[in-house]
Amino acid sequence: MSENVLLVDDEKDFLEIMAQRMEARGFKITTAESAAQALSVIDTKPFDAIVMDFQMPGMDGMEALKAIKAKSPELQIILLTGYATVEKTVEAIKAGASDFLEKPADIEVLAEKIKKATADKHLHIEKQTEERVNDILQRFGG
Amino acid sequence: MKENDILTQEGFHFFGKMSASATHEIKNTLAIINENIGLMDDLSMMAQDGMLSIEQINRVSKNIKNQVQRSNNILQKLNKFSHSVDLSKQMADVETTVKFTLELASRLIEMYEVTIKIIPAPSHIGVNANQFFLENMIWKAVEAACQGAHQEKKVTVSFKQDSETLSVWFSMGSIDDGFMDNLFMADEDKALIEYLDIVVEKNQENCSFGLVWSNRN
Repeated sequence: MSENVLLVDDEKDFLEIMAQRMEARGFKITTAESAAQALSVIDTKPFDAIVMDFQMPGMDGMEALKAIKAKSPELQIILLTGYATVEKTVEAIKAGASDFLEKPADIEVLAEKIKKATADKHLHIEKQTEERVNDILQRFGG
Repeated sequence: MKENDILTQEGFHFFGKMSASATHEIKNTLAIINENIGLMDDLSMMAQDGMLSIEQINRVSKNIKNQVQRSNNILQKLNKFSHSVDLSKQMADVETTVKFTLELASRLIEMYEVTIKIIPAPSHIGVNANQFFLENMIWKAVEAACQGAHQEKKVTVSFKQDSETLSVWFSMGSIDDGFMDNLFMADEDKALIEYLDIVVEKNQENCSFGLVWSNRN
């Protein structure tokens, strides 16, 4: 299975090469150069995970994270940052980020994190489906 | 807190903000270099299978060169900034200082998505000041102007000089009601203004404000 990943970063050179290398590793990649662009792209097709820079012009990573989570709560978001402080990491995880990675990142580590996040997403969906089925069964049984 | 302590704290805050922005940008250049080196590894794997693209290799080499140059520029700015504390006072060219501060804080300014246009000074505008705190005050003015210009996203910087005063002006096109009322009212702003011996003139109608020095130096 190849994961659908949205890469978001305002550094165009970074975005292009990262996309090329991720595609070579079997991921289906879509890119966005801003949080605003990312927000409109997630309306057009489904993604398994988003890898997003934490500091971008306009809407910053935290705002974008909250906006994406409000739109698609099941979407797994991995944040990339120049400097990861404990406070920032905790704040991002509380806001719904799946993981936090410091730049420059090892692509194999990132690939692993995406796979784990995708598996978590599917587990979450399966759990939700199971809960819904149980709920229906209970209602009919009762 | 005493005024000197407020000024020192503001200076540390400014130094930290500029350093954090510059190092963040360097990290971005390193991330791009890292990806290019990774791509080179990928390409060398492909070369073993007889699939080597010279075009790709040239692209990687060009990308790395560009990022090394970019890092060097950032470090040069940071080094110049660090030396702005060398002298307690010196004759500083206001236009040059504005241009340098804009370059130094370029990443921070990008975050506001504001375009800044500089109208060159008609003549040399020199003030006898502490270079570091002058840069600090100019950054505060630039940041305030960027926040004020959130509607039109445009700021114009211009310079004026007459027999009595010399000044640098920040015009924002349009601003929110009450913007000028809150401008430079914090204790650290007041401490900087007093230390640099300047007056802030606010013009709500023209959506602009100026840092004004008495032309006695």
